Amino acid sequence: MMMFAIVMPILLIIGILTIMMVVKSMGNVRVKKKFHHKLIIGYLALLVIVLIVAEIMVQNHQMEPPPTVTSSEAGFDLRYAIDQGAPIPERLIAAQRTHEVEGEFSLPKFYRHAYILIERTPEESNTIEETVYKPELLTGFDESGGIYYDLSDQLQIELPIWDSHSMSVPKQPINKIQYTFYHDSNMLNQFTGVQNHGYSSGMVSGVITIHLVIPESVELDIQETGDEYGDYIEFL
Amino acid sequence: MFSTQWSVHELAKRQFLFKFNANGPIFTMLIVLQIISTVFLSGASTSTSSYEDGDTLLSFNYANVSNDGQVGLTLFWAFIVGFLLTSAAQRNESFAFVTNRLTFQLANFYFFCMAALFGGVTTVLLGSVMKIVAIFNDNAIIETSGLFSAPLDFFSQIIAMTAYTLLLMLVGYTLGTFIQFSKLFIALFALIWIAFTQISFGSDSNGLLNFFYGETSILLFILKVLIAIALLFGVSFWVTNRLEVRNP
Repeated sequence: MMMFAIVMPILLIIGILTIMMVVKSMGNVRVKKKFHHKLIIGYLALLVIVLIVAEIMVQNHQMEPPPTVTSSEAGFDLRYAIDQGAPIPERLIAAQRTHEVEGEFSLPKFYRHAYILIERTPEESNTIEETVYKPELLTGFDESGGIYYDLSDQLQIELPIWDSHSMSVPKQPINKIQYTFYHDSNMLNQFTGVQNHGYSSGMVSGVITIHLVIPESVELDIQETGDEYGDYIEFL
Repeated sequence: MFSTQWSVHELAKRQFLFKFNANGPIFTMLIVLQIISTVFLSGASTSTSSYEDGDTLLSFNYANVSNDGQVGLTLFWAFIVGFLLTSAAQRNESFAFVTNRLTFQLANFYFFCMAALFGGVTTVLLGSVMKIVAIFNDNAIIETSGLFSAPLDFFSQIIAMTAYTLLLMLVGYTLGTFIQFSKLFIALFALIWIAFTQISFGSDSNGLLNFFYGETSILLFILKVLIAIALLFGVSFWVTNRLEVRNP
C-alpha cells in the first residue's frame, strides 16, 4: 500500500513532465493542425472497422465456454462419498464395467497414476465391479460468486487394462491444456453485471480413482512392497 | 459599443475551438500511448498459470487478455491533461480573445468533455483489438458481450469510461489550479494522497473509490459524477478567480 502511495505520484510527475515536453516539442515541430484532426478521425475510423471485424469474428467463433460448477459442487469428496454410499455426480464417472476373473486376482505395481479403493462384498462370485472416476480440473473465474469452470472433460485418461487374473494401471497420458480468456476491464463492466475478479485459483484432484467391488470369494494378491505403491491402494 | 454582441456561450465555444486546434498534440499523444500499450500489453496482459504434478502428467495454462492496461493508461492521460490545462501558458493563451474567467473556464470544460468522450470511446473500442488478439490464441473464450450481442452494455461501457475520464481530468485540473495558486499545496496534496490511499485501498467496502465504483445504478452513478464534477469545477473556478490576471 505504501509502495502504491509513493510510486503513483512519482509516475504521475514523470508522466506530466514527459507529456509536457512532448506536447511542447510537437508545437515546435510545426506539424500542420490538420494532421492531428486527420489522425483523430482516421484513428476513430480504424477502431470502428476493428470493432466490426471483432464482432463478426466473435459471432463466428465456435468455442463454447466450458460448463460451470458452483463452489459447493467443486472439489467433490469422492473418497467420502464412496465410503458412505452417497450419490456421486455423473460428470465424475469415466467408466463402469464388470470383469470375470479366474482364481487369484492381482494388482501389478503401478506408479502413482491411480488411486484404488477396494471394497469386499460377502458374495460367492468371480465378478468384479469396476468404476473409474475422472480427476477433476476446475479453474475459478468468479470466485466471489463461487463459480468455477469445469475442465475435467478435457483431461485424457487411460482406463485400466484387465485380463482374467489381474488389473494393471497404464501410465496416464500427458495432459497439456491451454485456455485463453478475454474479459473487458471490470471498470467498464460496472453496469453490465459481468464483472470478473481474475483467474487466481483453481483445483485439480490429480489422478483417476478406481473403485473395485470384489467378492470375498476372490482371493487377492497385493504385494506389500513398502514403498509408495501401497499408499495408493486402500481397503474400505 | 460593439456592432456584434457575443453571448457567453458563443465566446466559450470559439475559445474551445481554439483550444481544440491548439491542443491537437494532446489527442495525438493519447493515440500514440494507446497504440504502444496495445502492442505491448497484448502480450504483457496475458497472465499464465499452470498446475503440474510431480510427474508432469498435467499441465494447465490459462491466459487472461483484457483491456485493463488501456483503461489505466487513458485514466493516467486524463489526469495529466487536466493538470496541463492549468499551466500558465494555457491560461495566457486566452488573452488572445476578448474574454473573461467564465468563458475561459467554460471553454476548458468543453475541451474536457470532448477529450473525455474521445478517451472513453477509443478505450472501449480498443477492447475489440484485444478480443481479436485473444481469438487467435488457443481455446479462446470471450466472456464479455459486444456491440452486436448486447448494445446497451456496450454503450454503458462508453458512458462509464467517459465519466471516469472526465472525473480524472477535473481532479487533475483542480489540483493543478491549487498548485498554480500556491506551490505549498504540493506538500498538502502529498499528505492527502497518502491518507487517501490508506483509506480507499485499505478496506474493501469503504472509501471514496467505492462511492463511484460500488454504484450499480447507471443513473445514480452519472448523478454522482456530475455532482463531483460540479464541485471540482466550482472550486477550480473560485481559485482561478483569485489568481493574478496574467502570469509571467
